[in-house]
Amino acid sequence: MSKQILISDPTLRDGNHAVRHQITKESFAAYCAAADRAGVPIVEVGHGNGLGASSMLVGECLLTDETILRTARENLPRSKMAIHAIPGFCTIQRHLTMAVELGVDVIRVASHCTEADITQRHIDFARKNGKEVYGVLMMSHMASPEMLADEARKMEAYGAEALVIMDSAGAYLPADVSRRIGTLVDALGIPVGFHAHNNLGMGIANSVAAVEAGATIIDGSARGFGAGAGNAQLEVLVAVFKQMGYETGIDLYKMLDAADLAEKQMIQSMPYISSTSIVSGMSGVFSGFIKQVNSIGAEHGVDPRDIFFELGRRNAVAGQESLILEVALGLKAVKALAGAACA
Amino acid sequence: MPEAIERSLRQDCHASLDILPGLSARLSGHRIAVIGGTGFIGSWLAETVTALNDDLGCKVRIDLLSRHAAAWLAAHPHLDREDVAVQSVDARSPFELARDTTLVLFAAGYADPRMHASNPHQVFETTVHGLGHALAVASRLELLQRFVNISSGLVLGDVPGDQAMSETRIGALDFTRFHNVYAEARRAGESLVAAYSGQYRIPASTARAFTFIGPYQALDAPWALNNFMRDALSGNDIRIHGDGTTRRGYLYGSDAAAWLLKLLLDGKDGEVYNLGGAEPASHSDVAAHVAALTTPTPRLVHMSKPGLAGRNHDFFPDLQHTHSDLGVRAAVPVLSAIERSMQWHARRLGVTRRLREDVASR
Repeated sequence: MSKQILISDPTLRDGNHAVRHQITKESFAAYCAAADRAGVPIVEVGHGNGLGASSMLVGECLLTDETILRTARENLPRSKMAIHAIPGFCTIQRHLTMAVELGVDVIRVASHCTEADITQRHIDFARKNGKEVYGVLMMSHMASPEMLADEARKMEAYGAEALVIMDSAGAYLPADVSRRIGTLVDALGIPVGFHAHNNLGMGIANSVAAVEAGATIIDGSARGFGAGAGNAQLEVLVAVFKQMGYETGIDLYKMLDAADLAEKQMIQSMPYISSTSIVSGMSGVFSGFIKQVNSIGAEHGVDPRDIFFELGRRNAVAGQESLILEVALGLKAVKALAGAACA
Repeated sequence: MPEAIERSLRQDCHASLDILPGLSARLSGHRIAVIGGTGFIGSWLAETVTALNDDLGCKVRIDLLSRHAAAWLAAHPHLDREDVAVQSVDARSPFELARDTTLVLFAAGYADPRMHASNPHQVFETTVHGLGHALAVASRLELLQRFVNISSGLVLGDVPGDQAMSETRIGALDFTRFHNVYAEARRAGESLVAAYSGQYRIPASTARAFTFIGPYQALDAPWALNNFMRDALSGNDIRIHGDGTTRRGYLYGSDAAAWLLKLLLDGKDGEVYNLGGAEPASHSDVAAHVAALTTPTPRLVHMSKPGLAGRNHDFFPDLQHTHSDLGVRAAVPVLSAIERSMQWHARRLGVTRRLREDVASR
């Protein structure tokens, strides 16, 4: 029997990062319907940082969580609807309860890669309500394979039914992925998944490395629509897995149609590996910072690449967007001092 | 607690006691202290002691020492009686026992893997320091006849193969990883018992617990069978992880209590006894049974394809030594244990409508 890969599609969640969380209701409806027709097993929707994250700090979403979930549900008759839930942004009472009432199927409870402890109550709530629940470790390059396994074991103990690691900064090379996924597969009794970012052009290669190391869940976005340089391109993943003899259950032609629709309907600029994306990957800083780093850098006359390397030096993680301005102002001051000294 | 539930628990206690003739008479007059006494084991021991006293005229007293004394009493008012004394104690600090205590059972600790993951420090402190305090106080008891430490089958570590786990076949355990703190703490506990037994000649034995099932277990405890029951009673599909072939040996609560009472009376010094179910049952089989007891019958959903999970996680005891030394047998087979557990949870949660009509009315 050929190996089955479960595809989870975050186009309508991670892609929201790429358009400052401005995906329209019509786009949610159209892409959900197209992905459903293609047989995409899981479609993840919401603000880029997940349920409850719409805010001044990380970006205000065009639509409310409720509108997104209702729209997606109406257009996903077969595919499972998933949400990204980061405790802190996403509360149980206000957000998860609503998501359950609106028919969410898969709750992906996420934390920074060394903070799995914060996910226990959310995972517990999802299980009690009969929902599938995945544990997600973000910025996973910041932890060793052994530490990731320790954190993943916590999520498994809390009741997570699968464990996904995110290469949030697009920092991995295939060998990094193989070591981490291999360690997790050995350590856990639940399926392991991988979520790539393409900062170093490794999105597809890293996803393949993950599968070869034992991952059975792979995230991919149409046209790679996602934060920074984007995610692993979903229609390419489907084609590559087909070539490799893996089953995804997705109709290739209909997936290509869905990707065409995504490009036409909501992708204002195609994800590409910009200079800052490369630096984001090299410095290991969350890809979602790119738009803010670029704009703050331009505003204060600081090279965004310098900002990224300094953020990387400070181990900045998602949710610390306020640090971008601090770093930019610091670099600006240093530059001014250096200028004054030379004068 | 509704009368029907109390009646059902009482019947179970007698079924388990009936298998051990003479036990009730020999227990008469004993005073038993259970440290960590308001959990699954302590609650079943309290039920059993009240059955012995009410129906067989025994004069047994039981002291339950626990951090959750008040909450437990409030939840189980039918056990608020003279022969069941509940005392608020945190085993991590030194405590005292009644001077006329004759039998001591250390049942404190955390079996819940969520606690092992979140607070391994407290797990270690309770398991090892708590046991140290219990042994210290027990060593001062003039009338002590036996001390039993409840350990865990997890101390056996990674044992290859898919066979029953005997007391002596001990595998490796990586003590440098925090997820093994619980098992390693239980190993340290067994060493501590050996130290007291060897150095101070305390009559002490160890019971290695495997998997229990029954009333008084939290439905949200993260164990497969509990999850199946919770899914079924909440009207959801039953989700099975892995390929469903993983096996556990379940021991019902009243049997566990009766076995421990027998061990308190007849255990041998320094001996270790496995405590668990003799009939290993696969996750698929118990899930199917849970589904069959429920209406409408929930779907069984396999969360990963057969063969992908691939690894053997069997965990069930070899009971040869326990059976031959203590002469114990299970009165409640696993399928009946599941049915009784479903009835108990459904009644407490007010969802008996989810049980098949003939099951709900039994």
